Amino acid sequence: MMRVLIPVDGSAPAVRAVEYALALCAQEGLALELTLLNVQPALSGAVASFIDKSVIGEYHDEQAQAALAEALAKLEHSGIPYTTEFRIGHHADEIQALVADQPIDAIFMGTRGHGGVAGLLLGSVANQVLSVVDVPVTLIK
Amino acid sequence: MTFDSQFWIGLMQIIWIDLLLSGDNAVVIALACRRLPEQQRKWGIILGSGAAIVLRVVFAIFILYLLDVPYLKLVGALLLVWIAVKLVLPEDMADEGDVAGSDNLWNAVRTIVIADAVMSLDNVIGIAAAAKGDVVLIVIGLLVSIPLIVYGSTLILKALDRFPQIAFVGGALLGYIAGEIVITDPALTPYLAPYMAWLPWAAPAAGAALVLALGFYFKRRANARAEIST
Repeated sequence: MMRVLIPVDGSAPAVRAVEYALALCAQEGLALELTLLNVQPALSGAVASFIDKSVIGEYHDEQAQAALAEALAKLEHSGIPYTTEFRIGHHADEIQALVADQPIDAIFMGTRGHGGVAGLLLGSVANQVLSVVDVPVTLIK
Repeated sequence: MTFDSQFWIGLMQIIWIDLLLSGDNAVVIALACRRLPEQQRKWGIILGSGAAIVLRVVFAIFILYLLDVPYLKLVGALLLVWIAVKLVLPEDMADEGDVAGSDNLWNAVRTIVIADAVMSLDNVIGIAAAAKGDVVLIVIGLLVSIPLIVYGSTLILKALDRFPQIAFVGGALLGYIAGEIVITDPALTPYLAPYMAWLPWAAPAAGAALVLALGFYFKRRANARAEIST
């Protein structure tokens, strides 16, 4: 069984990456096991010095659940085995760390997540991921 | 008042500083009100944002009057370096919050007022230093910070996550400005006069370098500590 990592940020391309994995299983009969990963950017030190850690934790949890909700709804009745992960930090770093820690065979990722104008100017998370992992990466628009 | 290149450079510096120092204020206000009941939360956010704006205006007026007091630019420059170093350090490496989870309005308000005061002061020191006494620039700096406090969200955070360079450049910029203002302190100018041939570029460069060096030093120390504890 292939373990596929799908980074999910709540954007439409990320959901399409999940749909693509579902289609491969349903139409091609592949046996995939999915790991959905949501990465939240860390709040700055200035915020952390005023706000209790547990409140920040709650906030990150809620953000992660919101980001994962749509993708999880797609998977719910699919019968495909999956796990979810949620980490705080820098996207590419956390994806790299997860691929190093766990037996991940491939990554499916949406290319234009929430990033705005800056993303267009300076390159995407997908580009950063490509340069730091050595498993096959499938980009989904 | 002239709209020369000095003005536009100052304006760009101020917008950059506002982006980095106002967005966090909005995040603190929102998080401090998280555990309040719906109705109180709305008021907490309105009052918190209002206080953040009023405090910035009050601090700005004070700073404008105080700019020419001897040693004050020296103090301001040191504060700027401190603000800048905090900016380049991420979440878990700064001091931990000792504020309990605020589930009543009073606690939330206290947290917000303290945070507003500290962050407004940081923001205004940054703006005033970059404006170099130009009142128009200070007012623009204040106006730009208002929407960032009111609508500011995790949008800036997401941009920072993707491009951590924004914070590094911001930190270096604040260090640079600290260097610029410290050599114009009325108490220091008599002593610095013989070196003015090279100080106006060397001091800002040294300020920027100092911030980045301190940032890297604290980051390395924090990483080393994290490795020992795991």
